[in-house]
Amino acid sequence: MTPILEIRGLQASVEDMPILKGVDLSVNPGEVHAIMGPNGSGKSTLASILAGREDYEIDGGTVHYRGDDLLEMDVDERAREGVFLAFQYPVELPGVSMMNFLKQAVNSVREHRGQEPLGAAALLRLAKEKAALIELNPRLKQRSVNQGFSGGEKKRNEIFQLAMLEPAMAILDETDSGLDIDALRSVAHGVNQLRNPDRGFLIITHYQRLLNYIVPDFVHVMVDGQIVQSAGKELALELEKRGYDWVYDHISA
Amino acid sequence: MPELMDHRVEDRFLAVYERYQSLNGTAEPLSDLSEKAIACFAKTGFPRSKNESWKYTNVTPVIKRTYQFAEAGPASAKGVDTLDTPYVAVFVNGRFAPEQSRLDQMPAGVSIQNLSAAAKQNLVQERLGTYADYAEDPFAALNTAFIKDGAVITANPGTQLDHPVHILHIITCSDSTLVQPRTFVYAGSGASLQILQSTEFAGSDYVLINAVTEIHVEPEAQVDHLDLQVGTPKSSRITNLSVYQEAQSKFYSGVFTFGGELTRNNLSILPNAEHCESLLHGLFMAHGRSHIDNNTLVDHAKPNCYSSEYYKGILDDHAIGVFNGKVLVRQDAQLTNAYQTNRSILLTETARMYSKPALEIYADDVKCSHGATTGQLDKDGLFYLRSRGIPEQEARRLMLMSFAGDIIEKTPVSAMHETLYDHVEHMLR
Amino acid sequence: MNTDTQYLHQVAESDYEHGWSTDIASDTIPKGLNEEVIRLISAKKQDPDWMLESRLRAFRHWETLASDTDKYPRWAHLDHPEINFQDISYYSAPGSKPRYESLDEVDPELLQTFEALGIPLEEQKVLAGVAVDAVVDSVSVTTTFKEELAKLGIIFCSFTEAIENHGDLVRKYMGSVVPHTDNFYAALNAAVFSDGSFCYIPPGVRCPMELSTYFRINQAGTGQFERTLIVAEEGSYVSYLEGCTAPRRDENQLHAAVVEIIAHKDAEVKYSTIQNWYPGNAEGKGGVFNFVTKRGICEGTGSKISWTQLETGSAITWKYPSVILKGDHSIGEFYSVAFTKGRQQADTGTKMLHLGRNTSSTIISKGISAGQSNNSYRGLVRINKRAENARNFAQCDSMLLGDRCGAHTFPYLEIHNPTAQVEHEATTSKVGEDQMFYCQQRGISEQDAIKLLVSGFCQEILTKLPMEFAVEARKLLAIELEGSVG
Repeated sequence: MTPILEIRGLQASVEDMPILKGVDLSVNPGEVHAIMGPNGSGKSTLASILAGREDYEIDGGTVHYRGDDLLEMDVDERAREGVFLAFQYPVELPGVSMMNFLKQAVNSVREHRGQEPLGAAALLRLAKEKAALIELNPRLKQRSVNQGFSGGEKKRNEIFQLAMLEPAMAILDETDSGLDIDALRSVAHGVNQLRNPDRGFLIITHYQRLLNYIVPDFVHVMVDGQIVQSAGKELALELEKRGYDWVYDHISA
Repeated sequence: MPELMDHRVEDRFLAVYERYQSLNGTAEPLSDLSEKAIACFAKTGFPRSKNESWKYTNVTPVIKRTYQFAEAGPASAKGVDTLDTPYVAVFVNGRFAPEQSRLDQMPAGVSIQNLSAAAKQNLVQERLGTYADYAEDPFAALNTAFIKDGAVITANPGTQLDHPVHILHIITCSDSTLVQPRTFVYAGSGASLQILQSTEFAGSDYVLINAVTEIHVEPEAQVDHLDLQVGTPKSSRITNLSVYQEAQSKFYSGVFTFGGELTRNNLSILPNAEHCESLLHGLFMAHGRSHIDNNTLVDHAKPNCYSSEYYKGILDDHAIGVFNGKVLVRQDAQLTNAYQTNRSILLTETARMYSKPALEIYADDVKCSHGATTGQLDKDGLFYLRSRGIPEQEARRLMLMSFAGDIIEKTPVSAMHETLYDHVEHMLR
Repeated sequence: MNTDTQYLHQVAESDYEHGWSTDIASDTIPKGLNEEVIRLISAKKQDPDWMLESRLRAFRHWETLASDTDKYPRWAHLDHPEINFQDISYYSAPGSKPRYESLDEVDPELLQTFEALGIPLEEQKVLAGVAVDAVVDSVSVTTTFKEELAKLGIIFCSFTEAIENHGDLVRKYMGSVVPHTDNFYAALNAAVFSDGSFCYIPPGVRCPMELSTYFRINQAGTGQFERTLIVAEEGSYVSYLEGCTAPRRDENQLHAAVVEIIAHKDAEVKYSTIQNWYPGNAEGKGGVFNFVTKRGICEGTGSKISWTQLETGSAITWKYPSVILKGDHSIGEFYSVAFTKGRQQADTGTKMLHLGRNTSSTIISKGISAGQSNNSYRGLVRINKRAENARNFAQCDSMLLGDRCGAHTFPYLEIHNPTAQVEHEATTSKVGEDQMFYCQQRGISEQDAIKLLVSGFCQEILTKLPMEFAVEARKLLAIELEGSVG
């Protein structure tokens, strides 16, 4: 089986400061991987690089997506190929209506897949269906993208877009940060609905609590730009109990 | 004499220049500059109302008066009130007064000299008159034409001055007088210094001050310049402050204007290298028939610079305030961050405010914004204070103090905070 | 050049999409301007004596302005060659050639442009020369809907007809808001205007349809001097649309229109414009010079005048739709999108003159500059001494596409009353990198993302346009952005 995502020895820096110092990770179809780690360990940098943000210098290593060199692709190309990033800080697009935005995005992806573009009515139907799945307030669809959304609504909107675009590889960058328990529960519920045997998930989080609701197949701990430990879901609980200091001790030991 | 009526007011100044030249002449190293400047003045003449940058300010009544050209008058015997600093340069009627100045404790590497003495130095020769645009600005030209005394402050690379330099202008003339102070500042790489300029009036007649200050800030140097302008109903003032900044330098300008018949402050800043920081702060308070016009230009020519402009005004009685601020971002000046704010309060039905904050932008990757508001005191705030038992008059005074205090608190010349508050309080009385 | 800049250059240099020329036999008088020409225009228009007198007064005033080079308005941030006013023909009327009977007769390219703009079939007919008050070159060709409107007492006709049939109204109001002494181009217009539109809404009547006029400039070297006069009586309402396209020409074409609006007590007038005249080619050659004076007066208590404009055309735009807020509690609004590319220059904005008590005004201006164009907002807010409790809010945002264009903001705030609350805010920036990244991460291409974000930037204004106009406006903006990509 070809992994959806295969990262080998990835090194990256920003303004000559190394952030990733050799990351290895493989995600197979149907798997949910969680990356945990303290602030500044490089988790979000990894997500940004996978999505194609240009603020980073790639110093070494490879990333393959379904066998192709991901790092060679443009941002929008990656998205159309099925790499989706749920942003830690979703961007507000003043004046750009949700439906107009979705239409552009969905039809760009569909065109790439050789599918017919969706008309307005079909798109509305699809949006209604997916919004229900995510428990997204339907009124938000009439607003500008993310503008005036609460923190929870923004995050829910990210998962809603995930549902609309049906990517093969979904990367969730600290989707749980800033959420109260109710919002967290419904975001997790949405993600669980979207798990399927063909789709890979990479969930980046600081806290274990999200993983109570989205149960991962693998948990990796990232410290100082490297994955220092990988195990099953029980690792998250261990971390929660002992804190990150335990990992530091573990490494130095 | 009817033919005299037709004479342009400029001709009077040109005639004085000729007489002055035949009597004194200009000291050798400055005579070229002086001649160029008077030629420019003859060509441009005083600004007329058609000139866009003088749209709201009419200088004609002020320049039409007959003025004596100030000469060194009797230095006032009484002790002058200076800032608590060991470095004080005193000019009486525009002429250097060494016996009243305190310059003996200047630390090594920093010097304050009279212009007529310093004019021979290469540094001064090369740069004096290159920042103040006498070709375009008739007042800068007039000042430059009669150039003689003035303060020349130079700081060698890396020198840090521990106290501000106070340049104090004392005006004692009893007849109506034109005084033209001149200041030149050169801060070497990494040097840092603070300069305060202020004026004291001992005379009783009309005074027109036409000041020019040029400041050159070398890489990584920092200069704070505070201009305290306390006017009288008979004093008018035109100032030209021109600043040139090199890479990673910092410059602060604080212009505090309290009263005066007519005030026009031209402030022009050219950050001509990357990573410069320029702060332009101003507070103007006017009552009676005072007219205060602040005209500023930040000319962003190079990338990665930051400028922030913040002017506040309080206008009472029949006073008129003008804010004319321009931020120019040239094509090369990518990644410029420039901000401009003007807030004014009108206290009476006869006071007026004209605000013209302009952005002229030719580079695309920039963040620029400006805002202007004019209104009254915040009614909710006023109500809150009164509901706590503070009488209305006192509540208003408190609110205005805090409105003005905002600019005062931001000045890095902290030695001046108290004095500035005193002036605000005095104006509000 | 990276793809981003390449695309922007493409946008910036794409040629005008809507240039066409209709070859209608015209009755054109020789070039030049003098008293004889004024009398000739007046005779051709069969003016009554008072109209001729009015023209001559304006002409004499204009002559004094034209003879003194200092009196030509030069304060705007515009750079254009001197206009030779003696090298322009001041009158052109369509000849006897019949109008198109059906759309089949119309230039297919023209129809294609209409399609691209999504103009409904009915409106295409109108544009091509059927129904409504379509001004093809200076003379009104048709006026329809008249009967329906007449039932309500609404007068909507050409200016010429108004002079003939409603002389009293025209005499009473013409020049009352924009007198011929107002400015150089107002004087010129008052002297030579050939036609335009007149609209009168009687007391208490709400005009049931959008009134629209389409302007076109066709005759080479012919100036276009329209005059529009809208009078809204007490408690009435009207929404008025003005839209333009222009043919491709190598010579500069001068356009100097005057629009006057009078809103009486509790009346409301909404005036919307799409301006898309030929902007000149990539080198900036040709293109319309558009010097317009538009002004309304909120004469009565509680009246309201609102200007909404989408400006995408013309080589030179000099235009400041203004409101005099004379009545107490009156409201003035100005909503504007100005898009410039190539070598276009626009200096546009508004004047809000607060005279009455409790008056309020809102200004929202969005400027987008591409190519080597310059786009300036210039706006005056004046609060007069007696304008107690006046409120003004102004928001002017500029967006730059590319590094060879300019975006400028010149607000003038003149406050003569202490109870005024005046707020002005402005920002200038390029399309946000984070926003681009977000869109692209959802699979949207760079070009589409720019279009999406720019139209989002303008959304606030476009929604102020009447429905059908808004659709056209959005399409137009997309076409402008897309350039020749088509």
